[in-house]
Amino acid sequence: MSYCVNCGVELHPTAERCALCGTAVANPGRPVDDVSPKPYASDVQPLPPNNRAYIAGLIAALLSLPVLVCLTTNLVVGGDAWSVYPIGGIVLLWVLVAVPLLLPRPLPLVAIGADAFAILVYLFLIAALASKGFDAGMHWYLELALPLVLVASAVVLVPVAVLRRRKLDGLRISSLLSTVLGFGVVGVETTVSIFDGTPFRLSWSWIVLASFLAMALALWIISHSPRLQEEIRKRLHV
Amino acid sequence: MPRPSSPPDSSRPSWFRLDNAAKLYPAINTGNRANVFRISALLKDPVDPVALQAALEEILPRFPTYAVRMHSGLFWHYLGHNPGCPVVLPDVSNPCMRMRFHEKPGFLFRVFHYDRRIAVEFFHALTDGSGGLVFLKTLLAAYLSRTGGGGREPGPFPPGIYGDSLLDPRGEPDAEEFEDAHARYAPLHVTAGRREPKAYHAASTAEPVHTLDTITGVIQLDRVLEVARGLKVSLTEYLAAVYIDVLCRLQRNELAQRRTERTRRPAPVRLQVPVNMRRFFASRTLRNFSYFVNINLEAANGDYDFHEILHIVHYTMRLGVDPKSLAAQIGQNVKPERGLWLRIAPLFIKNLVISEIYRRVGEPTSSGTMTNLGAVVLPPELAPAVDRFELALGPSFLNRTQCAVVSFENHLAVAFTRTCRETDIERGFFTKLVRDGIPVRIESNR
Repeated sequence: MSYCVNCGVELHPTAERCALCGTAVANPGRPVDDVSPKPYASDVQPLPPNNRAYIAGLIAALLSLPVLVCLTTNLVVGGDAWSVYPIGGIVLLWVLVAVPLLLPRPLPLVAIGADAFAILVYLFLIAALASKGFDAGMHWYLELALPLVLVASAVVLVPVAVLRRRKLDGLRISSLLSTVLGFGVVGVETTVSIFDGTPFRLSWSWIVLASFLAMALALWIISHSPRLQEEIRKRLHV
Repeated sequence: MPRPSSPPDSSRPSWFRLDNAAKLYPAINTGNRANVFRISALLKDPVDPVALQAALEEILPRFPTYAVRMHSGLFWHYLGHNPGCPVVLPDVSNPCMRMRFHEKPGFLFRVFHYDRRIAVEFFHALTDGSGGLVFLKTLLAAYLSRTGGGGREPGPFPPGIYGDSLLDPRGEPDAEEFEDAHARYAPLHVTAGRREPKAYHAASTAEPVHTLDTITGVIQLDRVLEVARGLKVSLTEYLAAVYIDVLCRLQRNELAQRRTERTRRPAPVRLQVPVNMRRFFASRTLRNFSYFVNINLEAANGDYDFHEILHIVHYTMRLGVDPKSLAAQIGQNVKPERGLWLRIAPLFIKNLVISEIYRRVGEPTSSGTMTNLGAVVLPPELAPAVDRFELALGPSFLNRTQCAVVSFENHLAVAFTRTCRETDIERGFFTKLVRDGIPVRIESNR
């Protein structure tokens, strides 16, 4: 019989390592028995099919009903292709809800990317069918809708990406969010300014950015100073 | 093709309500919280799967509450008769995986074989450890009557070996075996409040879903009993104290690495120790009838040494198994299902409410579970063919490591199952036993 030199427990003759600490078995007098059966089975039970895919399919089946109703009504009654709006909205809803269910594991960056893409496609459809014509719609889409969706996506994606790589405490998360939101507001004003056709000049968003950055800096400093945190708790405790 | 189990006749109910404890499990049945446990018997000879399948087909009609599948009613889940018989499967390295109700064949238990091992896994809504053990012992008797073993030739066992804990497959099921004993013993107006603050949970790195690592320590029962008696405590109390001691040490190490004083505040360490209610309230039910004692250690009070922990465990266990307070706990559990509003709420709302309550005030209030099924006794005709028994608990979400204990003759099997990479709890536990002079042999599925 072999014992773990680290834990002092007796090991199964077929064990190559101690199951408790991972130390390799080193017993010149009794090499590892690789003929006898292991104490437990080694075959892995195949994973049952993903139930989440079933739920995504179920949602699709439920949503297909209003899609069919809208499409049929539009075809029978006639008129403009108004059914594109509700159908696009329903498809967008499905992407928002079902894509996270279809991913094999939680992948928030992929899910957010898919959401942004679906929103952009839906807005493109609206722009293409705009009453003032295709060119006017595209002007609105390319210069306002597209950049705004990209800015909003970045505001969501950046904190999620950072938080997936680094574990931050509440104060640092707030600091990160303040920073990202501040720059997001600058992005919004820049977009609106370009869309208006007015000379590019930031006005109100500077104030918002400065406030957010000041708050972010303060939160960051506080998060690094237990003494400051204690002082704030002392003065603000309820 | 498995022989179908007996169809329901007029003397047997064709469906069963879930018992009080079982109502929780379908609502919280997920991949990482499967509520499945496994009882296995390690024989002296390799298992013959054909004989095992025949034995299973023979005994299943004797257990009508197990020949069922889960159905959804408008207001509650219920167990409906399931014709057929599960197929005995080769064992797997990821035991106690989630049972999906709508997949065929839909039984809520599985039977596995591997080398010398016969293992049965039960969804907890079906039964508890004691009911499962009766099933396994009856299966063993039917199997060994076909194969022989332990120096005995194949052939039927004398009727005298059968009783309440080892059922005669030719016998008729008794109504008491189907009963929800909670309902019988729950006092009408006595309930026990049990608001518990959140407890410590050991930090760990999750393994992928559908993974369950097992480390079993096989220990000589007389050696561990000698140590426990030397400390003037029972076996369960000694093992629980070792477990709590390990959790306290882990928490201290984790807190020491935190940066601020505020985050170094220790949480209570609370171990859940299931208690077989049949010991206190006469019932032959084959369904759930167990409760648990929470052993609470206020880690914020300071660092407890092992003997102080042992002291707390000893008196908590003695106070906790008072039949009157146990009855009050049953009353507390049964009370919500007696209320009209909960009863008439649609099932999907109940599922949402129950899973949310469990997520908030169920699992977070304990730091771990250590269940002791006790000493398994087999008739002398069967015992020589069996080497030992093992019990294992399925995946849990917040406390990724769990412990189950069972003994047979002089073999005590302490099985830790985990869904995380870290083996700190198991290592701390078994090395403490070794330091106390108890030899431990380790077996693992990894």
